[in-house]
Amino acid sequence: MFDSVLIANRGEIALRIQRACRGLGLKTIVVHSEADRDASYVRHADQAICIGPAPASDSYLNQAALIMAAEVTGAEAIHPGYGFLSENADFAARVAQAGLVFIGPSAACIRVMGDKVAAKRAMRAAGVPCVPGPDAALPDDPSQIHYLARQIGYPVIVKAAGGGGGRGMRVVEQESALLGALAVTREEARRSFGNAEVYIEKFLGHPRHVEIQVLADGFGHALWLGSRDCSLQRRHQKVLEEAPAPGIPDRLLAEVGARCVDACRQIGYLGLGTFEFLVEDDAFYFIEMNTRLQVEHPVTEMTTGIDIVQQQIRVARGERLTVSQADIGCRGHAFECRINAEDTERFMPSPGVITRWELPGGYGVRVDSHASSGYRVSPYYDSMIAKLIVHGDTRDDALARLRIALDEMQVEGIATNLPLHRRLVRDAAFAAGCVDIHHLEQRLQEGSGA
Amino acid sequence: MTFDQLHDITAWMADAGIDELELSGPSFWLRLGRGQTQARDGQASAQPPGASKPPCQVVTAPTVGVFLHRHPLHAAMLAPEGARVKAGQALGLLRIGSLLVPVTAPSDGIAGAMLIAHETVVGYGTALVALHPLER
Repeated sequence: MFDSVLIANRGEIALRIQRACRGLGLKTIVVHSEADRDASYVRHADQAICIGPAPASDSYLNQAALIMAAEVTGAEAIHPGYGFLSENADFAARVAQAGLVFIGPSAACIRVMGDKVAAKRAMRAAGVPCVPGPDAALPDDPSQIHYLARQIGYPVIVKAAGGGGGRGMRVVEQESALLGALAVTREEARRSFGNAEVYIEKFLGHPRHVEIQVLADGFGHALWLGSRDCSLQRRHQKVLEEAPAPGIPDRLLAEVGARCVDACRQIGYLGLGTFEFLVEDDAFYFIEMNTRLQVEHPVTEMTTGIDIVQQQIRVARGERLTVSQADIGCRGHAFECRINAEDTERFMPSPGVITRWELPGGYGVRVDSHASSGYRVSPYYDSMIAKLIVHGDTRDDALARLRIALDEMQVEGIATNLPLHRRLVRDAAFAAGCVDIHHLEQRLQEGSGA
Repeated sequence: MTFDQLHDITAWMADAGIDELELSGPSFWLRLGRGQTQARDGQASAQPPGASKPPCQVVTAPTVGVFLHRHPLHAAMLAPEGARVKAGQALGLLRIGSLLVPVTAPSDGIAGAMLIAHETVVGYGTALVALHPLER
């Protein structure tokens, strides 16, 4: 049980966690870099402490500085948010060794799920459907590798076991290209992730990205909180998300959700997590588990009516879940647009000072943001400056509300991807629902900007 | 305006605690700042070497910690105001758990005022103590 939380993150999620803590009556300690010293969420914390200069490697990724900050401020728990150190098993272990509570699963769980091959093996054992392909390291013998690939059937995809975020993967259309692709991916994986292990699996041609939110306490209870569709992606980065995933039969979803819950129990999972799947022709294929709070968690909050971040903190404090699976429903439909400081012609970050900041509002509209007029968007960090979230009784209702909200939102002084979002929500295929993960890139290539 | 005169003026500024001075005459304009010097006399610009003293430095926290003026086992301050200190000498300490990390003087100088109270939690970059240059 803890009463103070050090928030080891920045921007909108630092503010989101701060709000959740305040709602629970917990003391908040916000760490910040020199670049974020003047951010308003830093001023609103019970205590704020600078941990280093602007570059993330010297501040938000500096494990020693974070643990020292917890030590000197008397913080009892550390919330890692998303990104930065949120899925770093070594950091979770160091936090625990320092006698603090890491708000998230155990280091062992993070380690298993961080290794895609080990994760796939664990999920198969728990009965979660996976993409066809072996859940073991590839043999050294080229003829055996060719045999495995033929069994899966081309095209296959070569992936780094330690990869993520779309990096460290390569599609192979025919056998002659397989060994070359393996060598290149291995080298890339060794350099990027410090782990040269690669694996192969079936490449799906037109899948959707659908994910299941789970929540587990330390008493063997776990819940699944519905689905999200995050198929609108550019270079594997999600742009616009929705809940629930449209067009998936309830019975199929419930079956997959139950498998995810079983998997949580089997691996002794604690806290929030997300099972990510590719879905093609009504079949689910597990791709990875994110062992942390997700950027897109608000769409699940809007459709379940549950403050997910508060629940995450509650189970980390050792509380039991007080709701059962039968209490979890899906009410209406929600969308989230990630508003980034970037120009949508070249997708380059656009740091600078925001000179005009007008937010949308009204029934069913929520904006999670740390920015404001006069806020300086730093070149050092991720370019996301706000999340615009809308809720409606139906998908059409929510989409109509989103169109209006996007038109209302005005940001000047920096470039944003608002124009892209405005075009996307008027795209006929997207409005109809169920577009695949290639849809946004195809629209961008067509030059219509979606 | 000669270099000797400039030298005298900068010494007076230091004694009086003046950080910046501007002076203009029929054929010259002079601006002196502690740590920076500008002089103009019609056509030519001059920056006489040694015309101003090095500025007072502020020593900042290299990491988070609890700032201590003295070692927990000693009553005396590590660097009382006015004490002559050598580069590398501890001006104070940062306590992080059971660890004590010295906050050292970046150069020889005279310890100035403590800018943060004893036993205060400080973050990276917090101004801790002033360090004045040695008199020439």
